[in-house]
Amino acid sequence: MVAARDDAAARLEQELRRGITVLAVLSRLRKPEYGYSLRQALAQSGMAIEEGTLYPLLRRLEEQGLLTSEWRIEAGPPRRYYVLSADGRAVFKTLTGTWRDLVGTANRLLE
Amino acid sequence: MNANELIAAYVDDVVRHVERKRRNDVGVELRTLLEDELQGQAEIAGRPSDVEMAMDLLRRFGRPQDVALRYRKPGFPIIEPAEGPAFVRQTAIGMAAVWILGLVVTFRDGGGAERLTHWWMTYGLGAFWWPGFLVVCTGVAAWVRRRFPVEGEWQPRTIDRDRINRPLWVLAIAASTLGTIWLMSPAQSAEQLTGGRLASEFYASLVYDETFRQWRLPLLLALMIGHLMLFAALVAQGRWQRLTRRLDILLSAGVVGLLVWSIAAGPIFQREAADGIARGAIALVVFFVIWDIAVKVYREQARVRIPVFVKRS
Repeated sequence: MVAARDDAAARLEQELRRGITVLAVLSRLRKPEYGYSLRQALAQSGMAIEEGTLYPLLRRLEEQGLLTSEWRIEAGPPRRYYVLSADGRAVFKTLTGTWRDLVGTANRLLE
Repeated sequence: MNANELIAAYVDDVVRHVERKRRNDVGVELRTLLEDELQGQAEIAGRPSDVEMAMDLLRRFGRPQDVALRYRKPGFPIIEPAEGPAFVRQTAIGMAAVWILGLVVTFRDGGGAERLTHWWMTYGLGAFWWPGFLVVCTGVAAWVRRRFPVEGEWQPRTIDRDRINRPLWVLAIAASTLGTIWLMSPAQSAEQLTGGRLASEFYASLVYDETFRQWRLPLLLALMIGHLMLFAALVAQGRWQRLTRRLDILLSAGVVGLLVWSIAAGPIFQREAADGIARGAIALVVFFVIWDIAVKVYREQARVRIPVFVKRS
């Protein structure tokens, strides 16, 4: 019973985190980052995202036109750097506004 | 195999499941990322990377097929998740029906265990066309829904399903009454209707088998008269109610039972030709009545009812 409750809690928490993954990624790509450096930056900010989730997500966001990417060589092997596109910046602005509204609403509900 | 070779083998397995035109690009990036990850882990552990460390990383990253799926563009469901249980139910019912009917046909004329092999090679394996047929149907339905999405606001299909059309029901009762009278004695009814002008052979072919007339016909007529009385009450009330709906299902189930018994128990008419035609017609009637009962039972279950413990204010 307790195990089932813990499972449900873990699953719901995962869903909650998944909901803000895109916003978290977009927030860190206002300047160019490659996959590993982005994951490190997110982890240092307290938003650890599994590598198996993050790297394919970058591709999908690029396909949606929210990111642009290019190969660069900077002190090491060639790496693919991602950054927000013009559309990505607009979407990020909208999502930021939505997030702040949601947090305000959730805080009022939780009081 | 060292750690880098392990990563290369893993990346090869992933890109095998990625679209051909993106394979190289995804492969090169993934390999660099995994090497970065491994390097990072080695720094945290304070020792050089090794095969075991690489294995841990790759296991955490996921099975190559799953990782490739994340890189692929989202597909489309042939069977919507919400329709999954109904699909499984329809598949099971359809296959069970084919198998059971197949067993009846296969062992109709007797036979031993060797007939089972024949059954499996014909009806047993043959029944698998049914799930395939269902997949094609649901796939086409899903495509139509995506291609031509329903626009506009929802409209009720039926305003009040319980209300009946009285004139139509009066006509139906009249027709059913005539049919019941005809069934009491088809030979006599036909003779009176035609004034005895047809060949005597025709009237003779409509004479019931004596056992059927004595035992099964009275029960069948009683059920039909019961149904007629129910319909008369329905016309008086003007609408279906819970009791009349359930009585209707019960009477229909009784008719099905009696008709099946009539087919199985022995001849219905004295003449073989008329008997064969009657059996075929009854089998068809049984099929449609069962279908009708299934629809009515489904609708009965699908109705929204206020639980008994909720008191109306």
